[in-house]
Amino acid sequence: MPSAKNLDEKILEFGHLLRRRGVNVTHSQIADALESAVLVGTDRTGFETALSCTLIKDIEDLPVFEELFPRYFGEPPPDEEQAEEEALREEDAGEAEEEDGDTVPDDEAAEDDPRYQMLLKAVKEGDYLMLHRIGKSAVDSLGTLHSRDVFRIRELLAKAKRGIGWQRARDTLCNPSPSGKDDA
Amino acid sequence: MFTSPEDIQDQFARRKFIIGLKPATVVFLALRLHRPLLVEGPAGVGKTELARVLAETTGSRFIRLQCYEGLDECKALYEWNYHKQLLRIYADHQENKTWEHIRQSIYTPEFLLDRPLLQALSQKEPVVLLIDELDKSDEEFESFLLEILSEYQISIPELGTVRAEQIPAVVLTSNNFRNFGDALKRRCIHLYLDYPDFEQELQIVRLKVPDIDERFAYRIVSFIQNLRKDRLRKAPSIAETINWAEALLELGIDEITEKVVDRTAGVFLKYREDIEKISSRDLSELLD
Repeated sequence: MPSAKNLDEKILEFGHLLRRRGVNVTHSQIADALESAVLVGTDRTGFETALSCTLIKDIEDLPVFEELFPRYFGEPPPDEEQAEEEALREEDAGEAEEEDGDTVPDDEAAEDDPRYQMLLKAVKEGDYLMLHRIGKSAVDSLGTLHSRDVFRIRELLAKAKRGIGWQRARDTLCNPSPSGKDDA
Repeated sequence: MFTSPEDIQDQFARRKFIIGLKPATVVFLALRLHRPLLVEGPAGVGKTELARVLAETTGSRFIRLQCYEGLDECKALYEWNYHKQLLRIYADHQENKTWEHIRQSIYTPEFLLDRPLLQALSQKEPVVLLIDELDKSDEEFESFLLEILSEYQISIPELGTVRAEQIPAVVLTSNNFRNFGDALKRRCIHLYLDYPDFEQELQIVRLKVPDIDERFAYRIVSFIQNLRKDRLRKAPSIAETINWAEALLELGIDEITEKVVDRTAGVFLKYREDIEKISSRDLSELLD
């Protein structure tokens, strides 16, 4: 986020950018945006919300805002979850193409892999909300998908499962304690 | 008042109203900047409820003005109680009072019918003023309203000026039947409230229907969320998700089958064409 010192200049300039793209932004709106930005502090989401709710008065103009905001104020800093996903992607890229999810990737740190622990806990406790989240993050970790990807669906599925420690969780739940549930 | 957007989330949640961080931030800013909050979004996402909960959490009096075509100042602001004034004129006449005396006596607060806007401005305690479905009113009313929302005062020729003791928190709602003028839009802080995402809606259902089985609630919410992606004439609102969950619980049903959907679709779909549309659909797609 811009420092408080040049916040007004930044917002003013951002207002100009919006105007150049056909969004009608007045001076009083700029003043509102500045006041709002000061109120919400340095949090990025707060800052973005402060600007959008004061500068954008028509829902049709929102896409322009969403396009310009990250360009002008920079991409969001990767938060933990995203960083994790990125690490995962790199990890996968490093590994040679592993076939179906039937083989367990055996790295030493796997024992306290938080994703696997999370999945295990969610299944044991029947926490569907958490399972939903894990499923979503697994799919998200695959990045942007194209229609041609349908041909490598098995490969992608395996990758998604790997990402959340699915195989290990299944092994743990099925083998040592046969009472464990298998799948969501 | 609220100390932060998160504080709004917490306090609303205690009253069983789930609000995302972004909408909470917008509400927070509107309150801090003393600006009207213009809430837009599809019917049934909780726009009106938001105002009500805001009044409850801030301990404010809740005053509501429902808009409709033809709404005018008489119904929104104030009007003189003609019947009562006539009675008074008649009574005074019997006692041979002068016109000057009569005139002064009939234009007093006793003969004034105060409507929501005047009520909101003349309260001594804090007020949340909800102007509901503003898009249904006429443009003339909009410009009249804009004046009040800029000055927070009105003048009644016979009585003088009423100035708000404290600026009321104003919430305007719209279903986008018509677009508002630029002046009003600039005056307001904008909040676009959409249907909740999966997790939020699941949270709402579990909060409002606490007896429902967690796994079943999950199924209900995925079904409704998928249904909203269809091009229906009227997509099910949050209230309809809750009604459906309650209905199924009441009927002792714990699985969504074609037969169940057939029997209960009227709870979450309000148009015959929509009901026919889903009965021809492959249910497994919606349950996924």
